[in-house]
This record gives sequence, C-alpha cells and structure tokens, in this order.
Amino acid sequence: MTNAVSMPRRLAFRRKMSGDRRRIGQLTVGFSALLFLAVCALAVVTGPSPIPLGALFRSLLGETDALSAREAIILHDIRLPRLLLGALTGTALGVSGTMMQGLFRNPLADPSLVGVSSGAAVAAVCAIVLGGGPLSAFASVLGNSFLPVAAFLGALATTSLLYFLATKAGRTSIATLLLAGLAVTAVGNALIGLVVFTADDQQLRDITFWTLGSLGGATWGRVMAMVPFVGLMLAAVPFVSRGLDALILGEAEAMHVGISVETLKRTTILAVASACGAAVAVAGVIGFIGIVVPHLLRLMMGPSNRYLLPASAFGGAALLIGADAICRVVVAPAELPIGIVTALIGAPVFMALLLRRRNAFGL
Amino acid sequence: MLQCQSISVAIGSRYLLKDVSFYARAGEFTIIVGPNGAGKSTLLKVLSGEIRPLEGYVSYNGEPITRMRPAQLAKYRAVLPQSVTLAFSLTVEEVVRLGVEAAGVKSSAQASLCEAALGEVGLGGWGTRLYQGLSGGEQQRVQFARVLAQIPMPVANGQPRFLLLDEPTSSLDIRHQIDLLERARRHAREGGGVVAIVHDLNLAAEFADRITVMSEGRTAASGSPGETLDDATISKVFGISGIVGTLPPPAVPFVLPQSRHAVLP
Amino acid sequence: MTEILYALGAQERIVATDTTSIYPPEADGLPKVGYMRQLAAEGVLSVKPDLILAVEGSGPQSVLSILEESAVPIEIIADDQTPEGVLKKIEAVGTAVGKEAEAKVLEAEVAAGFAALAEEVAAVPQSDRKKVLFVLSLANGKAMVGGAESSADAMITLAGGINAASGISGFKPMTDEAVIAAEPDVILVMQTSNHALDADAVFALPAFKATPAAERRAFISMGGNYLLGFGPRAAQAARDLAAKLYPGRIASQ
Repeated sequence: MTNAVSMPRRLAFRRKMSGDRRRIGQLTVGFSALLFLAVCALAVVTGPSPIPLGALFRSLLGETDALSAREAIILHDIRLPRLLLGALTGTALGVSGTMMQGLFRNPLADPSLVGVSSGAAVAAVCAIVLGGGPLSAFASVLGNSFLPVAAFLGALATTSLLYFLATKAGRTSIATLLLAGLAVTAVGNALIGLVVFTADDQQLRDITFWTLGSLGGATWGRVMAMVPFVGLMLAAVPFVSRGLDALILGEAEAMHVGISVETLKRTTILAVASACGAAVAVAGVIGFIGIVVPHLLRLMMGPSNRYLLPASAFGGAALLIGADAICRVVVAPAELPIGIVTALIGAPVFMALLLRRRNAFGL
Repeated sequence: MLQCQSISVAIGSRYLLKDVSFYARAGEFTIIVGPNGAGKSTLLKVLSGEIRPLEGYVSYNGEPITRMRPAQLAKYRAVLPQSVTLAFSLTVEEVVRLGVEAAGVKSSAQASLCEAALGEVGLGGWGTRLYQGLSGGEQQRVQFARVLAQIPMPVANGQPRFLLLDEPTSSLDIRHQIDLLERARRHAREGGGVVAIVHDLNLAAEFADRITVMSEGRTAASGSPGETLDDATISKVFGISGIVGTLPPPAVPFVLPQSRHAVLP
Repeated sequence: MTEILYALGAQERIVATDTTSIYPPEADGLPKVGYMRQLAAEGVLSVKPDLILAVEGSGPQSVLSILEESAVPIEIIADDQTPEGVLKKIEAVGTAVGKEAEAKVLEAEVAAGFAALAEEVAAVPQSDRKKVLFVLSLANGKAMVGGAESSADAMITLAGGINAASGISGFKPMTDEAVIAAEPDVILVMQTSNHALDADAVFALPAFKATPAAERRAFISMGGNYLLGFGPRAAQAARDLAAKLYPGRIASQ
C-alpha cells in the first residue's frame, strides 16, 4: 500500500484532475476527430512518389489535368483505398479494444481475447502453405481473396468455439472465456507450428510478413467488403455504451440498474468478432492499437463509454493511418510491416501503463 | 406489495434458504435481522432478481419477477448492495448517473437529478470528486444516492416502488446511520416499500414497522418489533439471553440511538 | 548440387538427398533427410553415408557440428550465385567424389555457355534493355519482390535485363506505389510444385495494372529450381530468360 505521506498529495492531484467529465469527454471526441482528419490529409500526400498538396486541391476543384495520369492512378487506386482501409481497420481495433476492456472490466484486455487473431492466423497459415496443394481448388476460385476469406472464416470459427465453451444455460462466464481463450490460442499455435514445419522458404517468408500485418494490397473491393462488418460493430455502439458503463459496478449491479447483461455480452462479442475478424482478414495481425488507444483516451477523459467509444474510433483510425504513412516511407521502395511500427509505439506505452497500474492508488 | 413464496436456494447439496416465505407491504419499513450466515443477503438477492431460486417465486405488486426484463424491473426496485467494487475510476456523479439512467430520465434533466440525489445524502456538490478517493462511509452514501436517483418517487403509476438495502449502515457513523434510515423511512411513509438488512438491533427496533428474524436459512419469527425482539427469540437465534429491555450494570454506559426521541422527565 | 552429381555420372553413389533436390526426376525418388535448413543429425547418419556433401547455408549449425564430429567426412560446398561460383561448385563437387576429369569437361561446357551468352547480351544496346520485376509471391495482395543481391537479381543481370526493384535488398515486400514508379517492362515469376502465380492474378492488382508490363501483358514464368538453382543448367536458364526478354535477338539454344 502507498505510504501515508504520499497519499494526500496524490489524492489532491486526482481530485483536481477529475473535473467536469462531460465537458472533457466532448472536447476529447472533437479533438480526436480533428486529429483523424489531419492525419488523413497528411497520409494522402505522403508516399514514395510525392504528390504535391496543391495539385491535389486543384484536381478536387475540378481541374482535370492538375495531376498526371500516373499520379491520378496512385491517388485513386492506391492511396485512397489504403487510407479508407486504414481508417476502417483502425476504427475496428480501437472500438473493439474499448468494448473488450469494458466487458472484461480490465484495462489490459484486448480483442485477441475472443480468439479472433489466433483463429485467423491458423487459417491464414493453412491458406499460404496448403493453397498450392490440397486447397488449390479454393485458391483458384477465389484468387486474391482466398487468404482474407480463409482468415475471416478462421476468426469466426474460433470466436464461436470460445463462446460456446464459455456459455452454459444462457449465461456467459467472462472468466471462462479468458481461460478458454488461452487454451485455444495454445492449440492454434501448435497447429501453426505443424503446418509451418512443411513450409518452404518462400511460404515461411509470406507467413512471417502476414503475422506482422500490412495494409498493402488495399483495393476498393476490400474496402467495400469491410464496410458491413465494421458497420455492424458501429451500429452496436449505442446499444452497448450504457451497459458497459453499468458493468463497471459489476455484473450484479448492472442487472440491478436495468441492463440485460447476457444480451450485452453477446452483442459485444459479436460486434468485436465481426469487425476484428474482418480487420485481421485483410490486414493481418496488428497489435497494440486495441490496448493503447482506449487506455490513453481513458486516462484523458475517464472510462465513460459514451465518449470513449467514439473517441476510440477516431483515435484508432488516426493512429493506424499515421503508422501506415511511416511504413510506406521509411524504407521506400520496400515496405515495413505495420505491426512493427504499432509495436514500437505501443510497447513502451503498454509498459508505462503496467508500471502506472502497479503504483496506482486504489484501482 | 413485494412478496416471495416458498423460496429455496441451494449450492450443491447445502441449502442457503429452505422454504422461506416473506412479504413487504407498501408504506411499511420491513427490516430483516439475523446472525451471520442466516441467509439474509441471499433472501435479498432473490427478492432483487439477482439469484434465481430453486423453488418458489417472487412477485412485485402481483407480477411475477420471471416475466420481467431487467429494464422493467429496474423501475420497480432499486438495490443497495453490501459492497461495490469499481473496475475503473468513476467520478461520484458518474456513479449516481447510472441510477438516473435506469429511471429513464431525459439526458437534459440528468445532471440536476444527480445533484439532487447527492444533496439528499449530504454530499451535494461532490459530483466531480473521484469515487475511489472517498472513505468507505462516503462511498456507501454515494451508492445510496444512486439508489434514490433510480427510484425518485415512492409511488409511480399508482404502484409502490421498493428500496432493497443490504446492510446500508455498515460503514457509517451513528449520525449518518440515523440520517440514512430516516430517509428510507420517509420513502415508506410516502407510499413506497423498503426492505433492509440491518445488524444493529436497536436501530431495527426503532425504524421497522415489521421485522423478520432469520436463522439457518429459515424465518424464525415475523411481526412487529415488539413481537419479534423478545428475549426468547433473541436467545434462540443469537445465543445471548437477557439482553432485551434490561439495563446493564451501573458502571457500564449505554448508548441508545432511539433514545433521542425520549421524553425527558 | 544433386544435379551436378548426376551430370558428372556419380548418381549411383547417392543414397539420400534433402527435400530441395528434385531435379532430375530420379533424384526426387530418393530417400529424403529433411529440409536443407532444418536437417536432423540422426536422420542423416541413419542412411550410413560414406560422404556428406552439404551446400553453404545448410543447417541448423548445431546439427552440422554434430555431423562434423561424427566419423563421416563432410564437405561444405560454397554457393556463390555467379557464373564463377557455378564453376567453382562443379569443381568442388568433382573433387569431393573423385570425378575431377568429368568435372573439368562440365565446367568447360558451362563456361562456354556463359561466355556465349555474355557476348550476345553485350550486343543489346542499353536503350533497349528491359526492366524486369521478379515477383516471388503475392500473399494477401502484396508483392514480395527480388531486389538487389538476390538470386533473382543475379539471373536478371546475366540475361541482360535491369532489375526494377534494385532499390530493395533481398526478397522483401514492395510498396504498391513503388511498383508503379519502377515501371517494369516485364514481370518474372517462378513455378514450383507448390505454387505458381498466373498473369491474371498479378495484373488484377491495382499496383500492377498501371505498369508497362500490364499494357503488353509481358509475363514470364519459369521453373523455380531451373531459374534460381545456379546449378549446371544455370547458363541454359539464363539464355532461356534472355531469349524471352529479347526474342529475335537472342536464340534460346
């Protein structure tokens, strides 16, 4: 326990910092939205082939030859879909992280706890290694969509498995979900190991880069495919916002203030599985955004989901788009996997978070 | 009226409650007393809908609880639990707001209702403070404010609304114990119902209109304070005899909260 | 390396190979001791070899150390991905199995092949040289390409092409925009038993759609082992590639 001398000072500091949370919440949502727009603008003009901002504006205003044909292709077919994919993925990860932390009542929870990443990883590895052999029939039919479709199905399958393991007589035990998730991830890793054992150099390379995550290969088709899944999650936000707030008092108390707790759990898990399943399918495993973004925002504005959920959407999108801009530029013409950049940003923040929690007064 | 009939609750083979029937009428302050492990909290959890009984049913104003969705039940009753652990750091206002939202109030009116509820427990203006920075007693009063915010009117649509309080005075000093119980009694006087678990037998004696004494998962006695708090029942249930209505040895002082109403000779 | 042994006529002496030895087809039928980078010491020793020939890069190192400690002689053959390297490889293998004479003959053949090709390639003017982009794989819609200092780069240069991905080192993912900026004239891919990229899959990606290669649908697919093996057929493979790049100027024989 903290010693008696330092307590009053910390107490006074915290009392001062709480303030009017509604105001702070609204301001933070606004700030994160502005940050998102700024990062978008920056990302559109950044890249190995520079496109001047002035030319971009002129073309938007209707001047048809403000941009060369190649610049127009880069902008329309490469940068824009990539920007939108980054926005959708970042939103999915940020909001899912917030939802998971609310559901598990713990700031260290993240979307991988419902099995999304391990399931997708097993499916992706199988697609990469077996796609030329036993699964070649599917591969030829689906072409470039084979890997994302496989990864998405893997994510859904694992989440369903975990849900059924943790639910008895209509009641989902969050503790069981956590433990079963650990077990399922372990099995998943073993399966991945088995498949990797038969892989050749090229496939190993592909697997490595897939697990590090990337927004490359973004097409309008993929953007459109992601929209319904992320949309489903966003539609759930108003429904779960109050419930997740009430859950802060505990499951029993949440029921007492009128929340249907089992429905809340189901809706949250479904929303997270849908959006994160789609995100992992198209972009591979991107870590830390689901933990870091909600936690940072929570430190700024408190845990009220009413403001935290929208702010996480903007914040997650902004962070991912920003990281992606770095990936495209820092070792051009090669591309750094985005999982590396988010880990390099996220890990120090994560460690600082752990240290802070260790020293925290009370909770 | 809040009523339960033939309730049994068991964990494995051990019965926490065996064939318990209980009722709390509108306009009355019903207090449950009994030794530790008697099943008092379990009974309250069955009444609030938190625990599903093995046998028996619970009804509010004639409507069985099993047919109600949580949102609907939240309008009939509010619960003050024995202890609450917050997973994240909320402000006092945010805690009380959870009760206000349960009452289905428009968001424009929420802030003032929170403040009003805090005022009733003597914590007016404390809205922006952090809950975790408060003392145990202050936290309990904040939870009580939340309960009052959830059920602002003792009677709504002609139906009485209930407060279920599990040891609401456990962390409070005697001044605040009396304040809280008087506020709860006012709820009952104005037409609502109150069911509370209280350890202090003197306070129970003063505030209750009806007392239910529980022991080992069953009701041992039920009736007015005069009928239930007698030496026979107390010694049977608590194992201490000769403490009802007798003065202690001259050297030992005694402090009776209910004496504040005494008419001095 | 297995190919070299067959070319030298020493094939009856081979009792087992690693999983990458698939040419000639007879070699594919021999018992396999595992992937060259992930050998098992017991497995290797269980076939009771009198001599172990391992190309540079075999491993893991701990297994090689164990094999070196065993009574069986082990020769590590250098793997330089250049014409000189191929010749040295043939010489080293020949010496190890006592077929120096045959080795010299093979070396002369291969050297002549490289020399003839070099002459013909030199005759192609710089302005006509084509930019080649070697695509290793398209996992998840992202192109893994062969940059400078990769085996693909060496082959492209031998065939008289220019590596469009020279800004990258080794086999790495390339940003979509950089693919467009590189303006490759030809896309080169390799086939193996497990994977083969087809032109449709590659040109469907937005990054490739906008390249000169897409306009002409210039797409070359060659056997992986053949193209990048740097064995006795290396000179032939380079000539094959050159013929595909500059049809009419360079003959494929």
